[in-house]
Amino acid sequence: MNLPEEMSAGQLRERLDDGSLTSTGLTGALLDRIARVDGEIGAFLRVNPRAEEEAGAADRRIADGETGPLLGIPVAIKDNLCTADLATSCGSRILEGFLPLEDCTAVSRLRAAGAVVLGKTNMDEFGMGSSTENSAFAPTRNPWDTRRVPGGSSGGSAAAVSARLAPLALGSDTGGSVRQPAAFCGVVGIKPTYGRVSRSGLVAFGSSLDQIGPLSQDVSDCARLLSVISGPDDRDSTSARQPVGEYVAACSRGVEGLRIGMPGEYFGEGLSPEIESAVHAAAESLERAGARIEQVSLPHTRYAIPTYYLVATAEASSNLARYDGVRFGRRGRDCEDLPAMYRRSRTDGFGDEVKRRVMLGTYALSAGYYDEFYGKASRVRTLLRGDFLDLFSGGIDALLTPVTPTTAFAFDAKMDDPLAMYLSDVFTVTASLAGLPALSVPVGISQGGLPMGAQLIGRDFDEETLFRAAGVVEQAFATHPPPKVA
Amino acid sequence: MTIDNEAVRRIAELAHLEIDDVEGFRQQFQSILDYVGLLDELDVGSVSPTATTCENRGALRDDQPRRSPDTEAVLRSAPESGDGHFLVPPVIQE
Repeated sequence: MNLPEEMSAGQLRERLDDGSLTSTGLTGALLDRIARVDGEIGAFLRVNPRAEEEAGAADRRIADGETGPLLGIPVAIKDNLCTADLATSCGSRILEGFLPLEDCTAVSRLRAAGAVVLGKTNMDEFGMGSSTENSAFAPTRNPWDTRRVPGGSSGGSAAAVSARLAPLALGSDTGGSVRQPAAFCGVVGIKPTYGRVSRSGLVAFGSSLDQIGPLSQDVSDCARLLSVISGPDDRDSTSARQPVGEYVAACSRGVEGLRIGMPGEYFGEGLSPEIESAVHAAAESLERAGARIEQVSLPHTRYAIPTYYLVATAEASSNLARYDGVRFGRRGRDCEDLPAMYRRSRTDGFGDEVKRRVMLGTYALSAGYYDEFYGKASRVRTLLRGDFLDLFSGGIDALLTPVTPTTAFAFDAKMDDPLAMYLSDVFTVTASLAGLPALSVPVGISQGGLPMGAQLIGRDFDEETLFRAAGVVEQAFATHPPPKVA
Repeated sequence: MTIDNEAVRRIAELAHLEIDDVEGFRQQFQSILDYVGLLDELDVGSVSPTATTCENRGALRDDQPRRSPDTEAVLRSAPESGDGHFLVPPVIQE
């Protein structure tokens, strides 16, 4: 029998409902485990001092006969999601001391559902990175091999779920920041369709790309968490009115009759042969379950990374203009006038990668260069989305690809070469630019003992098809025990 | 597209940042620009741009009065405040 700390949210639901476990007991056990082993992992920046109190409130709701998918279940929250009265730093010195006034919409929906906010997880500063090494505070280590990165930018959330420090976590994904760490840490993660989850209270990085997404031990837990946080919100004009699907039911519905494409462009040079064969094994499992696997093409794929790094940095340079040392966070000292104070606050408060991206974005938007850079990238973005729409209108229901070219890399492997770090996002940025939902599901462990992931990409607002396919893929791979942590 | 140290300094000024190692920064910047030059292979003159995939054009909600956040609560995260205001260094010199 697993310890409660190791159980999935689905298993915990049964134990909480039959009274053999309390949310207070569970939350206390997780906080103990975090205190015991998170020194080694570094998933959390801080725990919620009111977590046990919130668990007590959930226990009272359960005692009153209430139930619900997340009632009493602790969730770890990435530190770029605003939490009322609980510090929110985005992994940046510039937001040191910032106490949000309100919860972001996703967290307020979790609280309404009775979930317990367990704590805030580490991340690359403002979401800018693929390894969590760009956190201003501390590294997060991959629970499968602490000499390796957990991926990023939601590395803390992925490591927390992987190391069984939290049954569920929220991350955010701008170009792969949920999917890539999910793959590196052997957990499930989804970037929903742009607009599926409200961005209100998510600290903005690339506003036309950012989406909040769940990370979990298994596919149905991911569906459970997404169901609670999805849906329209008056506080985000880009949140979609489309009805929320039956995600949990979809996980066991099977894939009979689905047409799933494998784009040749995602299986070329640079892809680890082990990951390639694991993704092919996933394809075979889908075929055995009644799906048709087809070779397809997304011809503009090679332009996705340059397009992403122009669009995302342009949006970031504009979003991060608000950090000026006036209203919150850190202020540069001893400044003779206001412009010097802005400059000093930003120079001291931002790390190197954030500066690099703000500079690149400023350049891409500046007079004389706008058409050449941002303008051109937004046109290529149309072509990239068009590649997918052509396949979907031809009857393809979803695409199956790798999530990452390699398994988790070592610390410092890419820190001196920003371009090499950017290229590690090669399979994830395209779905972000196209606004499409994309899910990362584990497909076994490499010879070197590291998790591998497959990505499923679907039509706008068709997360259900991704859950159907991921539910089948998950069954095909032996469940591995979680990594041994202390 | 090549970028020189003068351009790096000008962008830094626009972005309100100070860059110490201008030459080192320029080199990294140049390698990123060389890479994004890949887009020059495409003729996109007749392609319309995508700024967002969101289809809610002009999404509006009803105006409803609600309480503004409490001033003290807003100021608690400010680096310097006083008398219900954010304080900043002098803007107008005597």
